[in-house]
Amino acid sequence: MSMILSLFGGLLILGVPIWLVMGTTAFVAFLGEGQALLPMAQKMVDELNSTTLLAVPYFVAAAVFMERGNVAKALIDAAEGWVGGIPGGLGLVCVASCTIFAAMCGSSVATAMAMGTVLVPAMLRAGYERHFAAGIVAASGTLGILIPPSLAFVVYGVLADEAITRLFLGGVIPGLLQAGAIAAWVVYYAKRHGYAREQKVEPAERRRRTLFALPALSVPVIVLGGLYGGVVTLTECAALSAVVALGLSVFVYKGIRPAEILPVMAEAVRNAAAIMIIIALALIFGHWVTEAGIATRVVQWATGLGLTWWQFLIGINLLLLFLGMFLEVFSVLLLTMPVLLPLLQPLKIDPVHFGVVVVMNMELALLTPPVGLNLFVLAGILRCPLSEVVRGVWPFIIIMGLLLVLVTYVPAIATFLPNLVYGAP
Amino acid sequence: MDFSPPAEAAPRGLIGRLDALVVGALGIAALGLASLNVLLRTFAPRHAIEWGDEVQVYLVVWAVCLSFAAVTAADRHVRADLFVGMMPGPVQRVFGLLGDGLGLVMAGTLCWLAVLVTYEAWDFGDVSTTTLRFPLWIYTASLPVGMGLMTFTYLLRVLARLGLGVRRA
Repeated sequence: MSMILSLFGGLLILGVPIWLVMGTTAFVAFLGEGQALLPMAQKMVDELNSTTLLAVPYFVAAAVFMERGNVAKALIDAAEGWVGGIPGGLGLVCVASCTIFAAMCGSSVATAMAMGTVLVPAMLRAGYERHFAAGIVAASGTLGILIPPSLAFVVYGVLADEAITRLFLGGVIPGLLQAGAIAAWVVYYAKRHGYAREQKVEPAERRRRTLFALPALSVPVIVLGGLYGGVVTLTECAALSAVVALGLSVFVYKGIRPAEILPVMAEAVRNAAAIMIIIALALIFGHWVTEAGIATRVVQWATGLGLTWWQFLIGINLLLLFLGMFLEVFSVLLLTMPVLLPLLQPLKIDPVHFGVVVVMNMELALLTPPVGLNLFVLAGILRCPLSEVVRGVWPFIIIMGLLLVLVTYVPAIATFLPNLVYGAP
Repeated sequence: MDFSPPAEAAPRGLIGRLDALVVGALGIAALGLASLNVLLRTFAPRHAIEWGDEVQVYLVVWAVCLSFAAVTAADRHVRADLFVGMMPGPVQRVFGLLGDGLGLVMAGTLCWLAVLVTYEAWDFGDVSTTTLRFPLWIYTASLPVGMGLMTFTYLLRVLARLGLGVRRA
């Protein structure tokens, strides 16, 4: 057992791709226990044969279409009309646009990239400090995985065998609270540093911009309305998001030319493939973790410590925060959940609450150096050192950390909405 | 997850364009089928396609498996490269060779195992449980094909790293 875990850790540290780390570890473990390898390939084929997993490439496609299709620009123009005149107006535009964009696509990196490309230059022109502009976009962008639909919730739901529709609802209130907290900090900072107000947009112009953004604004209403109205399944919801996003990008906002549809779709599939191969092998790895009795032993060990649910969650937050500093979101989820999920029942932790806590940790993982993907995105857009972006995100990391503590110890913030809609589990 | 522009990530040349065409077409076909099924089920329930979900899975899994090679070629597999990034250049190259070598062995082994799984599905005449009665070997063949292409890509990478005259994959 210790040899297998050393192999796992060694390969991880050596920078071997995560799918290979999991695959090699599972292979060696299966061989070491004298098990045949053929069922491993059979299991991989079986795990991929899942309609729920289809949601992953579909949501990735929706994110790629919206990112490339000028959808972000329309949302930003509209948001500027609504909140541009308030101190820190452009920062608020960023928070509002990211919140709406997050309700259309399930990826934080796509949200940060789509919004950052347009908003960061605008904020710099308006006299915002570079680190502040970068911090707002990086932090607001993380809402992509908390506000539904969310790729992270889909992957967690698959691993935890939990209803993804409940998880999506669980992310709504924490997501809106986070957006509000970021917005409050932006206004405070802008006032304190004397940022000039944006010129107020005339009512007629505001109406025009809102009308132009209306097709984009209708996406979450149609798609999530369809899902919670019982008209479409989760997978169909993801597919519709992608189809509507493609339609808007090609015919309304004209960011993608018809000739580019197939290459952009192929690009989306490639993005998804990098996740799907890890998911397939992580499910095999998880199977081994269960079969080898690791999960049972961890449960026995943790219950032997006499941990209460809140003590356990302190440990989980610290563990995920640490791992999130070095690993990317899906790697953390796929590496840790097979071991951690069996602990929920003995400790009487609601899987929806735990899912929201995990995803909020993953938001922090996107911002914490040295490996925070949103930091890289912003450093790329600004063409500045990573340290400058890090300087900008620190206040937001603290704000989001405080919110995480609140959601961790007041489970109702996450469970109220799903329990209201579907009833308590 | 990386969302860099297609031009940077996509394999170039005729094979790259063909790959993008096939993968893109499979993805669009799956999205089209999903949308059609929602419309039919909503407005003409009697005509809803019972096997819609099943065929979407086949289309998407084929598209995903065909993309494994492109993801490998573009070096876009997710990894924790912080520690390796701090090492001097020659050490990084050794670790890179180790990773590619391991990828070659693993993808090759998975390819072989998947061939056996596909052969079994064909030999036993396995079909899906819907009215479509789809021969499952056509679905399972996606894995050996995807892994085979990835094995070949890893082989090119290993050869390039060893300086054996093959252009870096």
